[in-house]
Amino acid sequence: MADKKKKNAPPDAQEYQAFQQQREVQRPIVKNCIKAFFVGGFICFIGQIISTFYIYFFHFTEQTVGNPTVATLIFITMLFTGFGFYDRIGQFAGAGSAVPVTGFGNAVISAAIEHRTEGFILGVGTNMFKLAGPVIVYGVFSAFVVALIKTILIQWGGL
Amino acid sequence: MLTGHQTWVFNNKPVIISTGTVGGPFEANGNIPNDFDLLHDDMWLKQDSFEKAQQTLMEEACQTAVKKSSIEKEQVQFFISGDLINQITPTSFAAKTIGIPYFGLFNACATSMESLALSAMIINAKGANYILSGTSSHNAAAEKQFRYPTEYGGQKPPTAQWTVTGAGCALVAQDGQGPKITSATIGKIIDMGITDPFNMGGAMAPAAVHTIETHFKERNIDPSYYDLIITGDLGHIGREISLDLLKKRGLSIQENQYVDCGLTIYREGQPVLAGASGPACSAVVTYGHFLNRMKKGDLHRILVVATGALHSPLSIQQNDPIPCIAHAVSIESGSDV
Amino acid sequence: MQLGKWLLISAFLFTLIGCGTDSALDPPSKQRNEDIDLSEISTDQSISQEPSNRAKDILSHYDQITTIKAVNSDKEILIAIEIKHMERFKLAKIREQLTKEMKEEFDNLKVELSTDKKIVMELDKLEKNLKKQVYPKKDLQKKLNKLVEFSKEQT
Repeated sequence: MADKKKKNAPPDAQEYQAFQQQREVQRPIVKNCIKAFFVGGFICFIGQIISTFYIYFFHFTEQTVGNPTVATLIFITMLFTGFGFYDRIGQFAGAGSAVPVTGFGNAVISAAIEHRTEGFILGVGTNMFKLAGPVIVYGVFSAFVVALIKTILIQWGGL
Repeated sequence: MLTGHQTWVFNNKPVIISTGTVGGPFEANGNIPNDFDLLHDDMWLKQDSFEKAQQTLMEEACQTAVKKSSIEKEQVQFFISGDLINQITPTSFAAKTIGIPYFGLFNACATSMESLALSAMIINAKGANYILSGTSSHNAAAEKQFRYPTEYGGQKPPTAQWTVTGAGCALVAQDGQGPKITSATIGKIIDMGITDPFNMGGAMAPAAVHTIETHFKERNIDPSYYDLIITGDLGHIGREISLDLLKKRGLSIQENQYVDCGLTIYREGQPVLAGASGPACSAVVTYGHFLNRMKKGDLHRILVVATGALHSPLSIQQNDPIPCIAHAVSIESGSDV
Repeated sequence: MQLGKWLLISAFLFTLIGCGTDSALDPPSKQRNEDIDLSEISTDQSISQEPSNRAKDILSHYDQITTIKAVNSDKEILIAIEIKHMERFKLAKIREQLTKEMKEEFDNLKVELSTDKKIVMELDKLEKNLKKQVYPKKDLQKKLNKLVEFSKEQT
């Protein structure tokens, strides 16, 4: 849609867009990737410490330790979001802090905090999943599609 | 009066007799804290929502402007103002508190100069003796309206800008002591098809260029007439693009003659990426910093070009381009005229 | 929009995690690997631990394994192993192959093979207790049953 619009734009607009694009400061992609790798890795490292702790000191197996670990990480994220650190980490790390489960937690919690002033039902309730909702919708949908493809391949492909 | 197609020249020389500028904690930590009349160290201003905090900012700016002048609030005929938030409610609530007949405007970040131009026009035509004109914005309220929740850890690109928390207000009068408003050029919408709301500087630059060019052509003066040409909130990227475009159009503007409010308000090292933005940006920097310099005698003639990106979150999601506007107002020091 | 793009990418990443691994176990060496952490349990228990010891003996020929723990009752045998860190990429395949091998070896017992750290720790505890004291038959059966169920617990 955007491309179609660009082609229909008057020539001076097209010319300006090309000029503007050159002057625009680009995101430093390589630098961002390296930062994301280390910060994301560090978050996972903390997650691994938490899950090892639960395995050693509580009655959890490697299978069942996932849930309490995620809950703990989200709890920590909640504190970080509420005290206002997480958005700074996010600005530095980008995908590094957005892709782990903490990023998902932050998306939910920040929206909930933001809309607290509009009340608990219409504010927090309706807006909580404003950012995280698409992840759930398309996560479930793509899981369904992948499962469908796998089933078809096994049933008729004989894999 | 009307000169050319879109420029007003004010023969009766409306005067800015006093100004009021209020800022938040981030501005207090910035480059020009001494130019604010009032600074807050709390983003909430002890209110229970950011919108109410913005309303308080606007009220305080108006009260300060009136208090600094020799007149009473009851002598002011009109309050002309606007902001960014849903149907400009913070400004309307502030207008309720102030209790002066009120014009509500929306021109995004260009509202400051739009309201100043209209005030000057009404004063010039003797439609009023005193008019309060100002704008406000609040970083967290604007983030909520246009971007993501304040605490959301998304990474902003280097072209993004930081909305100023603050309010600036000018009291315009028929006569008195202070800088005089000499002319105004009302811009038209320029749409170059930029759709990225994180690059408003790039989107607004052509509008600023168009208004500046028209201003000089219609007033038939040269850029060297002004000590400074001050743009509203173009940021690093927009400033450089517009300067190049102006040079391409044959206007000889010096590098140090062309400044941007969005680059003046914050220090190097504050995490504002490309610069500041928001209706309060041009208002507080012009009414605070630049008018103070004018009073000190550093500056004699300035042209303030406030730029506005008139998009809404809805229009961006529907892939519409960002319509942009710029209004220019020229202010000259009293002794000069 | 930038955010929309990110959300889509992360949604796809979540679904893609869990695919892959295509490799098998190295063939067993002739010598027993002496570095493996295992201890044979006395067979004078109420239930003879001879099958467990035999399992340990067979598994100790695999170089990839670092720890073997095993306890059995007269109906089932629970084996827990740990493998070298870099081999964990092939963990599922290795577990599958060893389970198959063990099932062939002990066709009279119900075989359960786990690679879970927690099961290794629990079996280690049980083995140590078995060395110290003789368990009544019922107790041992019950304990083992519980562990087998625990190892199968899913979320």
